[in-house]
Amino acid sequence: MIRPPKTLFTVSCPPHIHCGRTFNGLMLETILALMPAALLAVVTYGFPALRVMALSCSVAVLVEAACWKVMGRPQEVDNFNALLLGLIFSFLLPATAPWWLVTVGSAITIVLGKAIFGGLGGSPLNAALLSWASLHLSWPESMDIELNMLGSSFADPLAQLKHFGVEAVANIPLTDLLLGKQVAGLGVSHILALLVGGLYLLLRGRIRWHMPVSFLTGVLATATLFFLVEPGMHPSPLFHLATGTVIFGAFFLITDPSSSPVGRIPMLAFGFLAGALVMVVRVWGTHPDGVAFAILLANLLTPMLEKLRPKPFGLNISGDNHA
Amino acid sequence: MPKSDFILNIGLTGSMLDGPRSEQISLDLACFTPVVKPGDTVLAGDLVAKAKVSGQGDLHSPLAGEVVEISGLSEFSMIIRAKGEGSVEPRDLSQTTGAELKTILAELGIDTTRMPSAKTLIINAMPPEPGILVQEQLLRDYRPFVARGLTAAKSVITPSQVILAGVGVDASAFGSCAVRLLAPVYPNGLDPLVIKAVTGEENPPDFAILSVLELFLIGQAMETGLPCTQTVVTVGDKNVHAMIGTPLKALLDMSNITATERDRVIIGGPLRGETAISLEAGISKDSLAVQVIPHGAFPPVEDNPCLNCGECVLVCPSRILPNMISRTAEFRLYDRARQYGVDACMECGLCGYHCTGRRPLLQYIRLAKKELAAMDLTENPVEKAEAPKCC
Repeated sequence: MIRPPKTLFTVSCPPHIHCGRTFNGLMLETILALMPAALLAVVTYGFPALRVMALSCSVAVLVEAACWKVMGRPQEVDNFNALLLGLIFSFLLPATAPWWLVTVGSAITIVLGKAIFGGLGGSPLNAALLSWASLHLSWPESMDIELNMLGSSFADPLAQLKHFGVEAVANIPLTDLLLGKQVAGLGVSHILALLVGGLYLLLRGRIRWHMPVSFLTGVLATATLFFLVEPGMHPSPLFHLATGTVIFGAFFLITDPSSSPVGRIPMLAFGFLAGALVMVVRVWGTHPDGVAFAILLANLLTPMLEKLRPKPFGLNISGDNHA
Repeated sequence: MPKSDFILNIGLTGSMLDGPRSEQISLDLACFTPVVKPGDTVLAGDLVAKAKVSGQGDLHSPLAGEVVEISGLSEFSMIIRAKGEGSVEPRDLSQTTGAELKTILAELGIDTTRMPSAKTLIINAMPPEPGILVQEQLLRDYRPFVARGLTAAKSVITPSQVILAGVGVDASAFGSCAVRLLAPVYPNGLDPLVIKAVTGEENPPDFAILSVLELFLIGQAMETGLPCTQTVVTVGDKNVHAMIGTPLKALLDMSNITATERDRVIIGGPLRGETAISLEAGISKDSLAVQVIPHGAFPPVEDNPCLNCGECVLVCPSRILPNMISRTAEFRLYDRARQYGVDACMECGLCGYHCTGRRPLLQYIRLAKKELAAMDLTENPVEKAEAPKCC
């Protein structure tokens, strides 16, 4: 005999409480953390920067909505993920990027970076960087920061270093770099603004310290190594921290959950490896910045790094050989 | 409701209350085979159901009455309505020891599968979850009962060493036993973690661990000579000494807690407890607490994809990968769930608490465990028959 209960209660598997962190909240807070840098980008580069960011975000959202439609899956474009990916991608572009470049890049970010792998959490590579690399290989001139920003009153210190040697950058004060008096992708040159955003995410527990800290340590340690082994050939290690995409990468690119490993040791190894690779590309590679390729390479190593995990509780003693 | 701080001792005020006198009780039959039929009349303390796994402790009627129905709402309960008077005769246990005592304790409703012969006995005085105050109260106000239970448990287990592990427990608690103080933070009170904190080893051999409540129940049976039909549960900020089978409604009414439509009524703690379907459901011997979590206090569980943020991996005390286990279980790849360590899960619920995608991680883990157990049983029926688990 089954009686219908008088009052219907929620019946669910434990746990019955939750920390309150939601995916939408995470996306919104990350977008919020990018706002200081976005604002300064508009201040520095004016309307063109705003145009690139707005176009990239709109295309990303529209393409994602279309993707779910085509794939016949429930629409989840309202979770702000596409908006965030569009914004992150636009940060990597020169402020003068033509409309077709932004559109193609933003579409690649969503289609090849995310949707093709099945959506959230499926992508083995950082979506924005994948798109950036595709564009960089397809239209190198259009993506060249230095070439496209000739009108700017500042220079790209990394390009200067690559083409004219260490003397060319020896006199750039570190404070200039920190204050964004340099040319890079439109959103990544305002180091202090990005630091503020990154620290906000760290303090709110939206990202964990392991990857940013190990990434910056990897850059710093490898740069110091080069600095000491070949004296006079390399700028100071702090120069490398404050140029290019390093700070943006540390807080917003390398922390992409889908393409980064889980677990403390894999996260630390991943960050350090990516950081070291940045310096390898900068010193021996042909590309002046190196952060994008370094993180993409490290992304490919994620499955291997995730093998660096501890034994499950008790299994090493009880002789349980299931694992 | 605020974000949990996972602090275990929230401070106990007041003394234990006597449970509500309920006219009708509902016994959970999930692990039992009933031995009475609807219409039968029982005395208080009469055997009504035998444990499916021998030694897990049989079930007795807490009151004299008539068996009204077996099945009920969840098809797993027995409803007994109070009628008449009378109780079974108490047994004299003062001279019984060792294996004989173990058999009698199981007959009196004590789970003796937790009392194997072992070299070391650990008394777990830690509250297992936030909001459970039973341990604190029993150690503070009912120490003679607990001590009586410990004497009996020692006689069955014959340990050469007894260690008391808890928060702020004093060394003089039970004569000569050693004391180990633990930080009052969840999940430190779970058995495997208490054993590890005390011994430094994970799942070591030759150990028995009993909670303070278990010792109290043994002590209660030893003192009275009657079957175990009374337990202690935390309701709100008070402990209640209640009959097993007492309906949740009676307990909540007593503490002026109301549960309305779509709330969660939890038997147990917020991280591991089970939700009740109806307030007519009764508590069992090991319920520990009854709590109500209002609807909308927390973001609900949803069928979202795993975004691989790794929060669950960072908090997992079993050092397994709940993210991958949930992904594999989602697609019925249970063998792979085993590779990611599902067997080591102690079901603490922390992964689900921290899940950014609000996925039902513990449910996926339990599903994988259950399916794997079924697969093992078809592959190797003999081996598993030797180690029956509670249903």
